[in-house]
Amino acid sequence: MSMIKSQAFILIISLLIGGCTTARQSLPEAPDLKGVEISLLERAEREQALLEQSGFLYEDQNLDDYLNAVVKRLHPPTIQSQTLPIVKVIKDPRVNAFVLPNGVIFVHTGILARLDNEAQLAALLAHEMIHYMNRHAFKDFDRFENRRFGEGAQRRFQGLLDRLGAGFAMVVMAGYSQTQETEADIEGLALVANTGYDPREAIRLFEHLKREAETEKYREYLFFGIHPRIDKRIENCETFIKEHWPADKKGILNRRIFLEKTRELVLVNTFLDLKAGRYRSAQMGAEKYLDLKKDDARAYYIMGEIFKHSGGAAEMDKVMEFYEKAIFINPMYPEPYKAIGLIHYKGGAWDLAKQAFESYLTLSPQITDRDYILGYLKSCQREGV
Amino acid sequence: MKKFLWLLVVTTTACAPGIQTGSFYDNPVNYRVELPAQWVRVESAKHYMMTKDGPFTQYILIQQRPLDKPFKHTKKVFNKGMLPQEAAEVVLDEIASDRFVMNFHLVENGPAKLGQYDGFRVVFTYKTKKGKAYKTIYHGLLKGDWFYSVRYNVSEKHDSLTAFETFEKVLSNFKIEEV
Repeated sequence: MSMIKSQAFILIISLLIGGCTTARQSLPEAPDLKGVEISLLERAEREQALLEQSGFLYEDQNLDDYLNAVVKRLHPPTIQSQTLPIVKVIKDPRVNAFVLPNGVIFVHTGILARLDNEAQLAALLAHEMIHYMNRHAFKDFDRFENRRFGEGAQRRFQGLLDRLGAGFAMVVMAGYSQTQETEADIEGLALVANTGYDPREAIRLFEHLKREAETEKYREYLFFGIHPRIDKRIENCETFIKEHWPADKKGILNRRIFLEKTRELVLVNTFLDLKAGRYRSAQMGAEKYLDLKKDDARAYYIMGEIFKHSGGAAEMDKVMEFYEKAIFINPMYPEPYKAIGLIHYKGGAWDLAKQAFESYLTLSPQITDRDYILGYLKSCQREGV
Repeated sequence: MKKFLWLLVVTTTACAPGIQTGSFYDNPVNYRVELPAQWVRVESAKHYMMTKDGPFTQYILIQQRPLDKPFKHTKKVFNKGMLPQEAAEVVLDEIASDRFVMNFHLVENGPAKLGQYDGFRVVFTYKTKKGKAYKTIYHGLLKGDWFYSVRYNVSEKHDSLTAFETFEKVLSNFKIEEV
């Protein structure tokens, strides 16, 4: 079922079918630093292009402008000669962010959707900016290249990884040392405080990460997964704040503008969580969205879907209430009609199912699942209407 | 009742043996397929795959999985009461949640037969991280405690070699042996 697993299998099989033998090649001499830098930057450019063309990019110019304005605000004037990092958003519900060695920061919708204000966003971006500005990728090239797979294994399997798409971004995330991560945390916090943001919000960011890790039981290399333990990071932050930020000082939060800019993203990410079967995360996202916008039919529909998948038959009344509320808010929104039709159809309420399916088809005549619906309507006709 | 599960592969090429029985899965299989002329079965402990020009060009892959086996990219699961459309949704969500499946585009999603059984058919295109484009036709069905799927995958670069008719024959010959 897994595409990547299948591709790995195909690759191995291709090698077997070909009957080829692989000549053992001697490894090239270690390149000088200049060569390493060029190599890393070229790979970063390739990875960036790949991500931009992958269909995963979340395209919202207004949001991009906002995120990049925060980066500009955080960027210290003392190093203006360095290229300003650029932020882009990826449609992925997992809580994650990473920076490529060329200064492009990729932030998942999953982490943006969890944040409460601009100060938390600043803490996240500042962390990635320090990785870039302090050239962590270049300074620790061997670790960067070999961390995930072990030195020999990584070289041996690099071709395989490239073919399978296990890419550079994963190596980026896995490659930094714990010392570098701590440096990014502390120096990032200094950037946040110097810009006037409330550094105490960084602790809230870590709490979000911790809750996410516990909820979804992550096993992957994610923003927090390979970093020093979150509790230790929180402790480091608290020490920094105690030493550098007076207890009674108020910093910038910019909650309202942050939530306004990210509101639509929260809903998009909730749909992604639902697709991934991350029901608790999806529910948190839908509830957050409904706090921000109470009259959106899509949010009630998605609440119905969440409870249908996670609650089972016991929650069916609640599920129906959500779908009906969605239709009440927007009678032209087709999805809840189909959802109600399916519930009635499976329950043998043929006339109610027929009504709902007909409404669905009327509102969305070109929908891709039209043939299923026509089939249900035939069954309804045959069974009782 | 002691389970007697088996697989029969009818082969017509010189490369493959005439008849094969037994199980090649961690879980034994109980379906029957016919290997088309000039296609070869790729030996594997976990998959039943057949190809003609090499799997990077085109292949047919048959899988049987327990309903309760978790997926890798979505936490959604199959259940016995699902309609084919709902099963298709789980499969599509699994694929769409895989970060290595890029530029995923759903072309078709509707009811279809797999052998004599009611199931679903989805058609989609995608690219790998290396930029290679593929088209997949995927038939699936739920029966008893199992999910069965037969998929045809072809590189868009080699679309002149496409074997849709062959795939249709494999689909129509697919049989589940009651146990």
